[in-house]
Amino acid sequence: MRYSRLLHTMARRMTKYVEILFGHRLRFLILILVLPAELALACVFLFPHQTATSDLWVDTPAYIQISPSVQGWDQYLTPAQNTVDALDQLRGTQSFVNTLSAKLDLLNTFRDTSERDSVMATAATDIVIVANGSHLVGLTYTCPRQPICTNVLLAIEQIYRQWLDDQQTAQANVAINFYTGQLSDAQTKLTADQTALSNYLAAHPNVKASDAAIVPQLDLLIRNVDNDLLQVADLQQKLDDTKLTDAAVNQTDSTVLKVIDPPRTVGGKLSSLPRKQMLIAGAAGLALAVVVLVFMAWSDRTVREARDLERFLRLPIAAIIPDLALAGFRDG
Amino acid sequence: MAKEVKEPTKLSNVIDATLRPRPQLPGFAARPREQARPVSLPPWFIDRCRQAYLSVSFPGSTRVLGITSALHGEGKTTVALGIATAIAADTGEPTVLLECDLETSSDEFFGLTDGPGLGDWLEGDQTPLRIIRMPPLANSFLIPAGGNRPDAARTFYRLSQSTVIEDLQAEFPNVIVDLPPLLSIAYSSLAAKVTERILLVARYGRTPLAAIEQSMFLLGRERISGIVLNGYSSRTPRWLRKLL
Repeated sequence: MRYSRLLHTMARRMTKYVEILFGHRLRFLILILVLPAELALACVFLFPHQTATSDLWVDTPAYIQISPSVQGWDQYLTPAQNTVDALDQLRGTQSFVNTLSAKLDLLNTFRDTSERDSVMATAATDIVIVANGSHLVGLTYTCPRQPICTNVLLAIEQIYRQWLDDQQTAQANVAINFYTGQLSDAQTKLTADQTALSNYLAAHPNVKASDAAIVPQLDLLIRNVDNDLLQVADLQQKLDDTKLTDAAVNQTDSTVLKVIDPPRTVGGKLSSLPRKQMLIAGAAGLALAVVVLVFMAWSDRTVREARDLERFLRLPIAAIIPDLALAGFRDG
Repeated sequence: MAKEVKEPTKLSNVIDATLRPRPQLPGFAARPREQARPVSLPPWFIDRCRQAYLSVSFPGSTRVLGITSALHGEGKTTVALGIATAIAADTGEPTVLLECDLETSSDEFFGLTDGPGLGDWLEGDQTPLRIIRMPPLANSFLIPAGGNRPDAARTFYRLSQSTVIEDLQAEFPNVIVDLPPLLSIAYSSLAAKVTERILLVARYGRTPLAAIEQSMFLLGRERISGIVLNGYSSRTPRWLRKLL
């Protein structure tokens, strides 16, 4: 009962707002649309924008076999999601911005320094990186001129490819250093064991290598040498594989990062409008309209509803007469 | 010094001449009788005006009803005309609409130009009181206000002191008085003395509530028989209005 009364009271208060809203619906519509429209016109005519996109095919890097998983990659995410995560982290660094700037300079992207400064101020944050599937990553960038947009995306791909290469090279170097040390130790041990076997045979001229089955000490020395030989061979193989992988980094990374669609501009002037800003302008227009509506309702003290008249003035309503102007009559 | 108010006998002569004109003399052409321009109000409008006058309780068989508003342009004269038409049509009795808005004459609204009116007659300008038939009904009459008068306050005072309405009631059982807008004149308190029962016209979306409150204060709540909410034109869709 109490809720229905509250609802009724609220509805009565709303009546005035709704009436003003519908009475000035065209004005409110203009008010809501005017800010986004102004922004759109400004974007089209004063600050033209182009949008470039590029699609990448990514996979989990097949790094050197010293680690079961890639460092920094979440095993529960798809390669595309991991790539987006990596790129999101990378672009937040000053090193990324500096490298991007250097690459864009190399590509003769900018007309002058002011354009360079304005683009570089927001380039890293304005790039939209999304995972469009398990392996597909989409890059989108909106900027004033077509060469800037495409070059920025191109530079980002190059930076990310270089980063992957560096990662692989770093891991390969670690592995090579590790295997080289291990191999050196194994070779030293082999040399020592071979020397011990030679000394033993020299000290016991009557004992032949074929007597190993009946001479335990000789058997041990021979097995040590054999084991050392196997270990040296195994480490040498691993070292060779690692060196091969390291040498072929530039070839192997094409499976990890492949450009499906090279950077290209898409859409026309209107489709290149900055959506975020447009949404903000739309929201601002809506808020402005609400403020105006509230102000109008607050300042409007005119007679609107018969029931309000009866309630406030406590006078009976003798009649409610519709507007004669609707029937084309000008009353006096 | 104020001029003397007209003798009632003279008014009765005018009324008599209006309601019972002399028979046409044989051999003479009929003298054209002055009449107001027909104002074709929609039937639904007259029906709403009927609803308004029926909501007022009158003590006797005669009806004297004042129509006023707080401000100009609220459709007061149209509502008065609608009520006069409705009463005349319903009762079949002679009904007169007395135009008392002396500052903003509505003669043009009725298609009248350059003629004396109530104000001139009250001032004793040696002009007869015009009682004009309002077509299409034969029993509906109009007493125009006349031209705009700079001394409207004095004239209205004379009206409030005169027995014009009582005299009219002798022949016109229904008298609708179109009073001036209350907040636009300095003599609004006199308006309350002209008629016992008053309908206050308020314009939807235009008349401020404060103006109506002030009008109520000037007239006195007991004299206001009701409010006519005129020009109602809600833009809210019907289905939404039902929800609210």
